[in-house]
Amino acid sequence: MSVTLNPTPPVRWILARLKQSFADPTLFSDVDLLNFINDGYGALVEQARYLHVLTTIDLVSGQQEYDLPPLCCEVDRLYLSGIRQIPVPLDKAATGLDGNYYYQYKRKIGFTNAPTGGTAYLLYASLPTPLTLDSTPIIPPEYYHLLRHYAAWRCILLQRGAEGVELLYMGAPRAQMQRMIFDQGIHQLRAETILESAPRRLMTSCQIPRLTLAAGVDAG
Amino acid sequence: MTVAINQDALDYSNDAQFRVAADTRYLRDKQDIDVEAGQQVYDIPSDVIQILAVYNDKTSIPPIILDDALEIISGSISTSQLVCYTLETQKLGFLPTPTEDFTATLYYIARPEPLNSGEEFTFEGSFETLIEHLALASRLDDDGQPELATYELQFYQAEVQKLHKQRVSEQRQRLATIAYGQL
Repeated sequence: MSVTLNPTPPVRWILARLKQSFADPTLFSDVDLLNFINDGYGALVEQARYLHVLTTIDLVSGQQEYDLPPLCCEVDRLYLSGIRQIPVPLDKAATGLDGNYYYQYKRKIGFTNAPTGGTAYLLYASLPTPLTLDSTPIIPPEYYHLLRHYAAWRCILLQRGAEGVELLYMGAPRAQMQRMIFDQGIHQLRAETILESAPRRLMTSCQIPRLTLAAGVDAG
Repeated sequence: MTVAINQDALDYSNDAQFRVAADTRYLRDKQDIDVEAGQQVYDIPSDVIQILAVYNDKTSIPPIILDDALEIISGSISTSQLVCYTLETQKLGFLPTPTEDFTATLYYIARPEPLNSGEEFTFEGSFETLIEHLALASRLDDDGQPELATYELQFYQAEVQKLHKQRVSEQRQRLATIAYGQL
């Protein structure tokens, strides 16, 4: 009787491949390897600016500062009452700027002029939720192999102890190859993110018409 | 060709077919989304690599960049023309918020569904050969044979380039034929 085989969950498969190739099981536990995979996953999503989330902030009259969402790594856009707010450094914000400005520090975002209420629209680049053995990464499946390359790079360097740190600078072809593939993947994913999707993945940038007020759009 | 007879072969084949689909951008598909009045955002099907067009019956729904979408959402500007935008990697939004139900059709570059053992590849011919080479490259790399893996990978990349050039050339020829026929 033939048994139907199903695909292995992606993280489990990456883990199995690492154990088969680069990760000495006497040195690295599954938890270690999962941590390496998650490090690569976070770096990939963050550096490729892959995940953009739109959220709202309910503003309280007179309250200047608000908490940023937990996984926010960079604020892309902030709109208040239909007006785009401009970022300013924290030290400049203290000079009492008058206008549509915001500033950031730690996990806070603040308006230079305390709002009088309403809703702010916040678009931010987000970090991903860490992976478990059975979860599915949010990146497209054609990029899963990059997580294996990143974890392999970490394994090679760490397996060689202090020598590995030296190799980081002196060059170790096998480790460098893994890291190079990972870095190239970041650029590729980032290019797709930027080119295909100012509206994400929608056509190519040259085909995307910039919305103009003349093209059936009325000023609000 | 049937995909695999063991778990390893199945997993390597699935990984390779996803990468071939993304590298060649060969597969096309379309899918309907039932848009409901009052709901602005919908999930994009999981097999979408890149959306080519969105239509409501025979009318195109033009895409706009996220900056413009945000300006509309936040009330800075308004639009009477139905437009769409994408967000959070797998969401498709319509603006202004639809006031009546309709069916939006997505035309897109697709990735194949993950296969179980016993199923057949969506790809055929040269594309299936690409899957074999890429799967072999990954397997050799995992087996501690990086030199052979690199050789397979280089072969794969050269074949992808060749296929790409071939397809561009075929498209040009078709366009030339159409243009000639119109003379």
